[in-house]
Amino acid sequence: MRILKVFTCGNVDDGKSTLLGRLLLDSDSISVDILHQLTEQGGGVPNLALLTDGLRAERSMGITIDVAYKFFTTKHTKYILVDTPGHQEYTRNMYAGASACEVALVLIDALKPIEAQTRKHLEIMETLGITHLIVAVNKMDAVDFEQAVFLERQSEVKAVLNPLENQHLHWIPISALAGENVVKSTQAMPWYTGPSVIECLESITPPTDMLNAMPLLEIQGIYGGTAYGKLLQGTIDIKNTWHRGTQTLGFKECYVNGIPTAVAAPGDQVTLLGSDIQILARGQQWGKESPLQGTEFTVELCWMGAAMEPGAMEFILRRGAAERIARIALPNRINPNDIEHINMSLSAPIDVLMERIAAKKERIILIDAQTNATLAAGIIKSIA
Amino acid sequence: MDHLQYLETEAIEILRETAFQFERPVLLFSGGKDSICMVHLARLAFAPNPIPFTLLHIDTGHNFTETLTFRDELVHTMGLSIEVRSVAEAMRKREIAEPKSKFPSRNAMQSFALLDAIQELNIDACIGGGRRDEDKARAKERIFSFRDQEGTWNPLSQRPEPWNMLNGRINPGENVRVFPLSNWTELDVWNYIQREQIALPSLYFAHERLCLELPDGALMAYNPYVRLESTDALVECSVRFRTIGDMTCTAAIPSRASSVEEVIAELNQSQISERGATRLDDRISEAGMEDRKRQGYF
Repeated sequence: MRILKVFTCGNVDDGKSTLLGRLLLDSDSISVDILHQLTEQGGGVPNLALLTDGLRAERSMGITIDVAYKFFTTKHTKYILVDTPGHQEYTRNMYAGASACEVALVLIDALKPIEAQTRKHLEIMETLGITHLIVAVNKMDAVDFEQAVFLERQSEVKAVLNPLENQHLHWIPISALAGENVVKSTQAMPWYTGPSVIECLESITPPTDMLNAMPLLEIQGIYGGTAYGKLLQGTIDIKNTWHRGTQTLGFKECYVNGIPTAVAAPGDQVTLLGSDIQILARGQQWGKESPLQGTEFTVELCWMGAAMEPGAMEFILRRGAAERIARIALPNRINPNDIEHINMSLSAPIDVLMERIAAKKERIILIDAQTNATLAAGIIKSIA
Repeated sequence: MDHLQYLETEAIEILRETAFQFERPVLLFSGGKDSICMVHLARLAFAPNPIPFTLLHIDTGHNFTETLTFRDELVHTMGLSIEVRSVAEAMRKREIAEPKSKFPSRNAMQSFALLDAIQELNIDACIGGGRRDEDKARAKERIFSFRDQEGTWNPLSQRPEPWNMLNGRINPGENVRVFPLSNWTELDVWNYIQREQIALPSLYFAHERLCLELPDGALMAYNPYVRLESTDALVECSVRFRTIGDMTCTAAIPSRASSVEEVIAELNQSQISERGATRLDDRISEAGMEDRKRQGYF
């Protein structure tokens, strides 16, 4: 069984939580005791939104504030469903929830022209490099299942979308409330012959890991004279020589998930033994060819902390396991949920690959040195 | 990568980040299947070196004998170190009286013993077996879940974890709860147990047991802590436990599943959620888990 990570997004009240509830309900993934509770709360019909709005504050305000994680399985796939908030105020939570997903399930309200917040979400997907988009026009039941409405919303979205290279777009008219085209195919819209949301998800193959890329290893830490790390891309052959700057080294033994092996694949957690372990340190990257060492970067940030006035400031930057002091001269005030290009200068170089920057794979967070709160997330766009 | 391999790799990465970001992490061990899986994962994460975590058992004093025997054997055969802290002790210190109810559960009081242990042992990270599929408040929780100096969880100001980048930086007196099994479901855990052939306490498999049958049909193991009434019906039947908690608040389910394969088949048929089927105290209120977690619960 494979894993597919999917998030829902869209404006507030477009029915994201209801759609997730519908997916879970119609795929028989809600236990009878939970369903009983939802039905009681909904006064006879299950209130599907309450399934994911798991916090007191969310239930009392009737909105999603933070990300909720739900799971369901089909014959071939375990789905990790990430329900993200629609409110402008919580855009940062949407960004964080979406970041690790492979598929975006974008909800559009059939009743209203698309709004600023939906445009913002589409922009974030572009920033994050999410290549599979299912655009579901919801509440079709409220517009008499009219094809003309579906086409109108479709053209509005197309007008604001900047499709990425290799992007796959799917358009589906649905009613999450009535269960049309979510799991079950539609009866009410004979003009639509395409897949339901679940059929569409089942057919999606996310981009494969970077199996053929240049092998690159990140060191998480050293313990007991042994190196622990993650294979970021490429494969390990125990005979490889690894490079970083002018240094080189080889390993004698490799374990993947606790099992001795001579080979490893991208994403694997590896354990490496050899005679040169002492030259390794947390946060370093070692490659079949040496990574670059950079201190000056332009980063596209999503600001997650409180508003910050212009001026010079310092944060702790994390990239993978590497931590550095990042100095920023903030030209303008930055507000929560803003997405901005910011230049920064690091206290000491970090290891990066140009190919990974181009592929939006060099990601960072900024941490407040006093409170330790995570203040921003971002993607390195270029190195000076 | 198939789904179990993905979940295993994710958990190992989280355990390693915990080892490398914290100075005194502990692995919370209850003797249940989730914490047993975590010990297995920790072994794989750091092999060939020993597990770099001490286990911490918050002992309510209401454990099944089978759980404690299993715990001691596991600690012995794997050469682990364990600290055991008593809930009864933490209650005495605070002059909290034993609950007087028919099922006098100390479950909610575990937070006190945990917070005391965190302070006493200067713990900066507690690795727990909590899963997002267990409860809707847990579904909202981060992998590295920050606790302030009072041990409080503030669900409305959690640290974002974009791309699963885990920020474990804390100031003195604060701590982080770590949940490596966040994205696992009950069925994932059982499929993993099957794949890895992980040994479990016998309570998880069908056995004959004297039980108290409650009016709603729930079966409670007959035990010395439950206050029996003259009208109570005791029945001997084939049961197993879907979760292992205290004898006072964990219900058994009627079952003939005597192997891991049969348990998986049974779960595939089950219509009831794990907690709904087995935890008396979780039925109390909709926000029960959120409130308890705010006060320092696991």
